Amino acid sequence: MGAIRNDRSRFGNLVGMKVGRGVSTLFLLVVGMSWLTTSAFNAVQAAPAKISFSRDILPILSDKCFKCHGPDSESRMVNMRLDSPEGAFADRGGKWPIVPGQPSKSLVVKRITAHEMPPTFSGKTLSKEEIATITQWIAEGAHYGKLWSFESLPASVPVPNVKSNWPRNDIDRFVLARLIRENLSPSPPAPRERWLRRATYDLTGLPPTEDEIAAFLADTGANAYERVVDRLLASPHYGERISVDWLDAARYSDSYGYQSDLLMPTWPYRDWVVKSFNENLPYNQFLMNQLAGDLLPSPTRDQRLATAFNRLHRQSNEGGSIAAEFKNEYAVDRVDTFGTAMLGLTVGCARCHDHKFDPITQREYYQFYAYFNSINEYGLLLSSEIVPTPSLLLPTPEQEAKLGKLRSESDAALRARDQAGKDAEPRYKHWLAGRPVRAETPDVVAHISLDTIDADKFPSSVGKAFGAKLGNVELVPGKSGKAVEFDGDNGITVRGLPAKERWEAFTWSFWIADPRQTGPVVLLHRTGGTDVGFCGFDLMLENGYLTARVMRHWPGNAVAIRTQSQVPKSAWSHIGWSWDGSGRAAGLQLYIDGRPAKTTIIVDQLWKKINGYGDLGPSGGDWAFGQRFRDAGFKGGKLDELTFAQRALSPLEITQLYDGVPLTAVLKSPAIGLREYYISALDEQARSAQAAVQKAQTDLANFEEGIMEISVMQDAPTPNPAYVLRRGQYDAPRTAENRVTRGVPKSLPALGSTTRNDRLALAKWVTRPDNPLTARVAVNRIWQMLFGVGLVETSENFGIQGSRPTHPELLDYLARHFIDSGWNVKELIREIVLSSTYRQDSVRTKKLIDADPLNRLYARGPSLRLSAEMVRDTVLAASGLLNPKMGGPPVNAYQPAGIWTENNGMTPQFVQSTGTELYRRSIYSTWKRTSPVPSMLIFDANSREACTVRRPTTNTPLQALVLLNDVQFVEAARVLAERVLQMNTGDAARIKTVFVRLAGRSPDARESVLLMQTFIEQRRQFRLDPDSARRLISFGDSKADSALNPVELAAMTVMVQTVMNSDAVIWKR
Amino acid sequence: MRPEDKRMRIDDLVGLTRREFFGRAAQGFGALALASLMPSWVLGDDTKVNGVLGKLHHPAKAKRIIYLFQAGGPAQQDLFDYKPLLNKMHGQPLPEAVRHGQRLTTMSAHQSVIPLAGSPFKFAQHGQGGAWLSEILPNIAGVADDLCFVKSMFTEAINHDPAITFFQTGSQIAGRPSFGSWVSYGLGTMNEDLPTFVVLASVGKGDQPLYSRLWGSGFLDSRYQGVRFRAGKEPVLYLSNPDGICGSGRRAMLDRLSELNRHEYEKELDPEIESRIAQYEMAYKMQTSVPDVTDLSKEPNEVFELYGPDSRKPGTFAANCLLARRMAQKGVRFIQLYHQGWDQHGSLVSGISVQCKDTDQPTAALIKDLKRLGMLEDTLIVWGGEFGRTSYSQGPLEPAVFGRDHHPRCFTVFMAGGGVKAGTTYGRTDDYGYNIADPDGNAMEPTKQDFTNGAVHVHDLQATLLWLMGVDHKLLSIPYQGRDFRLTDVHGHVVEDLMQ
Repeated sequence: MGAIRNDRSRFGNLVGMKVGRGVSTLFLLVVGMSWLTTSAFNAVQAAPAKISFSRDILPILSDKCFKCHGPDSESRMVNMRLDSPEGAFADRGGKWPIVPGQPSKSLVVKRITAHEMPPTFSGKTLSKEEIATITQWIAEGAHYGKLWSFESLPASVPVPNVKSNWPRNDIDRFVLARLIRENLSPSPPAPRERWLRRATYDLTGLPPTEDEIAAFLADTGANAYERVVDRLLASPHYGERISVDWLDAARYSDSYGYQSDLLMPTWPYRDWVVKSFNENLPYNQFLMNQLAGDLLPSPTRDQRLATAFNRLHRQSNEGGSIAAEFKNEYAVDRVDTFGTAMLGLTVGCARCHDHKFDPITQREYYQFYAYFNSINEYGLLLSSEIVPTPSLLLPTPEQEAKLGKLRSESDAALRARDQAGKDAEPRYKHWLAGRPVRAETPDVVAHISLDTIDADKFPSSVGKAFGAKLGNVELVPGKSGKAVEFDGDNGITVRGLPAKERWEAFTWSFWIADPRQTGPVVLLHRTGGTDVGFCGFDLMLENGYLTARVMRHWPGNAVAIRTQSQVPKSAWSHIGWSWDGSGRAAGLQLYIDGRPAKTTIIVDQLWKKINGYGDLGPSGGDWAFGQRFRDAGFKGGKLDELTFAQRALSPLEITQLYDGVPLTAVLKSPAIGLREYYISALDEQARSAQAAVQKAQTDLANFEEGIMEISVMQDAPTPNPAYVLRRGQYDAPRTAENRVTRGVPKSLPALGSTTRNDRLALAKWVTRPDNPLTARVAVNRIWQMLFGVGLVETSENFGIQGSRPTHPELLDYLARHFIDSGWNVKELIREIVLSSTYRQDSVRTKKLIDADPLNRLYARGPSLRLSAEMVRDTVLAASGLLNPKMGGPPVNAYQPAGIWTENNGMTPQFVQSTGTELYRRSIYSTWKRTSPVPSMLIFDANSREACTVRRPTTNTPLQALVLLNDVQFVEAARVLAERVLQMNTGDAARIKTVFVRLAGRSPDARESVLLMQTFIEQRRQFRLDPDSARRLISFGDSKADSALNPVELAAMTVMVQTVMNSDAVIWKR
Repeated sequence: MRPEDKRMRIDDLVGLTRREFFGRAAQGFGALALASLMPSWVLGDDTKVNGVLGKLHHPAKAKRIIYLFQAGGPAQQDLFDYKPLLNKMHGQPLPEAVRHGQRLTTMSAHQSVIPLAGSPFKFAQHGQGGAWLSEILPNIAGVADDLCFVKSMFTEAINHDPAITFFQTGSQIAGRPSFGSWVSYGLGTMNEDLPTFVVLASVGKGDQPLYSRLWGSGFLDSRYQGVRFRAGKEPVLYLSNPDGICGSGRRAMLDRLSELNRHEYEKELDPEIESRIAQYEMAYKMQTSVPDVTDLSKEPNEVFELYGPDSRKPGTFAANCLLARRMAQKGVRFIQLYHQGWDQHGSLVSGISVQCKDTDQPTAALIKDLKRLGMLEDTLIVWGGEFGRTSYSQGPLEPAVFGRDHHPRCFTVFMAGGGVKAGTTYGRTDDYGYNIADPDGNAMEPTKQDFTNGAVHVHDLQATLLWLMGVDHKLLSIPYQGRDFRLTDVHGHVVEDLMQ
């Protein structure tokens, strides 16, 4: 019985075993050879004279040893750690893991040379060279040091002095110095057309136009290249191009990602990113705005909008979800994304335990977490329309003006209502002087005694409303006559009552007997939402305290008050709840036993409408007592004598409903509250002032409804506590002992003194010039964008397990230069693109194929397949279909029908865009997480479900099928064919134009011949079956030029397709 | 650059040639093209594979997997896990001692009573092994002796999206490679002109959604993602030539394209261009091989009778089972089926009956069919959902409307073929069907950290399935974001007792 392999116990045994052999003399031989085999190819520095801990040793120890002998104390074996000198040099009863200078006395050397370590089942082995390197390091004194990326950037980086006129700038000097060491020399410059195409794609994501090519070829001036680069950097398409990489990192998407994958309205963030790059916002500010724009002094709207970065994680609305679990996941996602995108660290590894390799403890992980968990969010969402709070309204300038007007009208209406109350004094006196003998409570539209039931209906003594049972409720003796007793699952609704929206005033009056449940239970509600509704009105009871809420999205968009004292336990108590429709907490009032209750305001910010959304559960959208779908009901509670008025009744009227003393009796001895009664109930002017308040609220809420809203960051007034969560689980114990405060890992520069230790402090820390990671990570990603691979290949991980930089000094030089330039992204790109390194031709030679197949040394220029976006944008641009409109809501480009909904009946229908909207740049396509555009995914775009900073580049048959058969590509081919057939030239010139437009250069003789043959063959084919030609040219939404011969057009279309599918187009070289 | 390139960072000169091939050219050639270069039978060794592993860790019992995923969470109490006590205590509240403080979803957590619900279906024992099965699985009952039941599965997630993502990718968090893509990455292909990893989903079922991440490649290359086959005219997206392009016209165009690319290669010497040429040939082949494999019309009548009347309707579970068998014959390595509709929160009796009608006969037919063809022994079939269901009723306990909520603490999956121990049952639950129990019926609290005899965590099942495929789950990994990622995260134990 049992499982195969239990590594923990076996490992322990192995470690405990005695080893007899000493160090073989063989090693000394191997040491000498160790660098021969690794130098040329492996990205590590060329043969060093002396072992460097950071460069040579740490990678080996980390990959092969630290899992069991590293920073994580929980997984540490035999209590031996090799990540610190203290651990490695420790006396273990006359044995030492490492004895500096004496490999033969070092336990580590014994174990690894005997091949006992690492153990077989770890799946790790040490090569002879690695063993030799470690041995040599120990022989040299076993000097420990920091990982290179944690070392601060030097104040200046010396540029190698190379004697050559090849370098144009310092980048080239670093690259050439390395090439010389490797006995390689740079490639000749790429042909002008090739460089132009490369640079145009890299900087704008689009192919160069015929005019641009011609202009550049004709420009023989000294600064022709510079002129092109400046033109490209100034192009609005620059922002669209460079944003794609950041949007991958920011996991930007247009849908929420879980289960029903509803659409997430967050495109203004995408537009902000594009705009920021186009305006060349300094990169430190770019990061700071996204991390903590809301906390900057008097933040601009854009700065607050930028913080949406932290809210782009997936969000769930799946039924049955526990909000606390998802709230935790969201905070975790924020931390992990921050770690990868900004610091290049895999901090996420420390969520469940101390990081196995990097110096980040689990406690430090939750110190980061503490910066990101402190917003008032619910944890689940309800619908695409109701934006999870905290959120920001983004009115257009016109909306802004109208909104200001409506808000001041609403304020004015409230002031006018106050004034009307004051002005009513003479009228009140006049009314009193008239000695009224009868007074009533107007506006009562229902009174249900619950004493009689007829065909499952509880009749009302006034109006048309009636009570209805929701499932079984017991009839029991009540405050007067009969009452109902609830079982927690069932309740009663009152059908036919008004007050669905926030601007409608109302009063509820009823009697309850509270059995005193400790958790919050639903007393009364009119809410929507599939699960626990949090959209509408409700009255909750928790341990005797009442909470009245008016909500669109709890807790950020609501008004709510809570009583300061309890209702009596078990005894009949009278409850009154009034709302004046004013949209403010002051308009909510609670009464217990006829007196206004002292309350605390919990939240007082409400915008847009509150009701009429979502699945309303069994209450069907009516007012309901004692239960709510999937919520805790008023179990064991009793209810009697319901009264509803469509006005916020005055206190006197509530008292009357409580004590039953008729108002007429009160009039005989005028009591406190009579004035308020008169104003509220009788005075015509005051009543119309109240109606004006409600009207102003109606106008305001209805108008707000149409305003774009986006989830952003906004800190809770007091920080939410954070705890080290055992195994990263949301429901792990939260105790005083494991509570953590905000902070940064000890292995990185200290936070320094801050007045407030909040996200802004963190943002400042990240962008401080002495943060060793941020600038290195940023320049590396730019390098990756231009060369396909970063100087550090693992652009997502600058930790110990990440790869070493191929050109560490160059990386540091670029990072230093970047900071000193004021984090100037355009300048950095300009420098790289104009370097001789970048200008080289990318053609391979036999020598280079052998010496550096992956081009990590840059003896040739970069060559890369176009990205998914570039592939599609190229055919749109070359055909002239491209609609260059920037920004705005996402559009739905072509995709095979039914993909969104074929296995997801909960998700919205895909409605393909029409007209020119169909031909927008791919960055503006709807990115739907659970169902990304398949043609984009096939070309290695990612689903944006999680932060990604590197895309793979594959080459698969499915890509061929997309390019050959997808309507987008066939249609674009036809449109381009039309363009050239409309030209007044011969077919050869037409073919040339097609080629230039798509491949950015003229075809050579062989290519021209092949393409002409293609055209002729295809024409022959279509002549045999002209109907097939007609069918081909009618593929796609746009209509073919009917003046053209269908056979000619079809044949030319296939010719264009041939070009479109060729390497010359799909790769930039 | 692919993360796996890092693997071979320090390599000898011979290895570098290999790296140039695998690390760069192979990216281009993709799994399919690789196959045409190095079909496994040419390798002349049973343990050699053309995925990144190169060689299996041990001889495989199963060459391929057909995973019949039952999305939504089938109710084990009404299908496999016979619990007479529930019928006896029908309507009584679930004892607190049995629930033991375990969390519930918010769909039933606030219910004022949680009444135990007996199964309305009759159970009987079947086969030599005496497996208890519900009356609504008559055909599966007929092959009971081919099945290996695990009644003590457990998982961590309680909501569908995280739970199915966990089952299919080893993590509740999105972004990890799916099971099939791991197999595709590690083992590579066994055919020349079909994908390695194919996905089929029953059409028109509604209910809990499926997501492309379930067959996505996560941080592996996108060439390892599952290829979704759809019912209808175009079984694979973008497969068909546009209307108006005939076969010979396309062939002529591809020939010219190939010449064009070859010309480019001569100038650039980039192996990617060669691989590009191969990809177009592969795509062209797929245009024939895919319609071939999906064309059921040549199947004899008795096969349709075996799979049931639905097998003639494209896109049904029955048709997909038959299609899966055809793909298995053609050497597709990982065939992932999905059947939605098992989320019986209410109206369980009618709902689950429909589900069984959809799936019972085709599942049994697939097993019989493979057996008949001699393929069952090296084809691993898995049947199960993302979690189980509660032994209590969600909502009122009335015959027509009662349902069961999600239950991650114990549920049943079964396997057949591929080296599993046929005719057996592994693990048990307590008499309430609420907790995994020891052989005496006492509730246990297994965790994923340590293997508990008699309990199978999701990672344990994944580890076991990989083991049957000849793979040590701990050694099929890829360095990403600073650590070695694998399907089983840092957990998983191979459950020997499930194997022959």
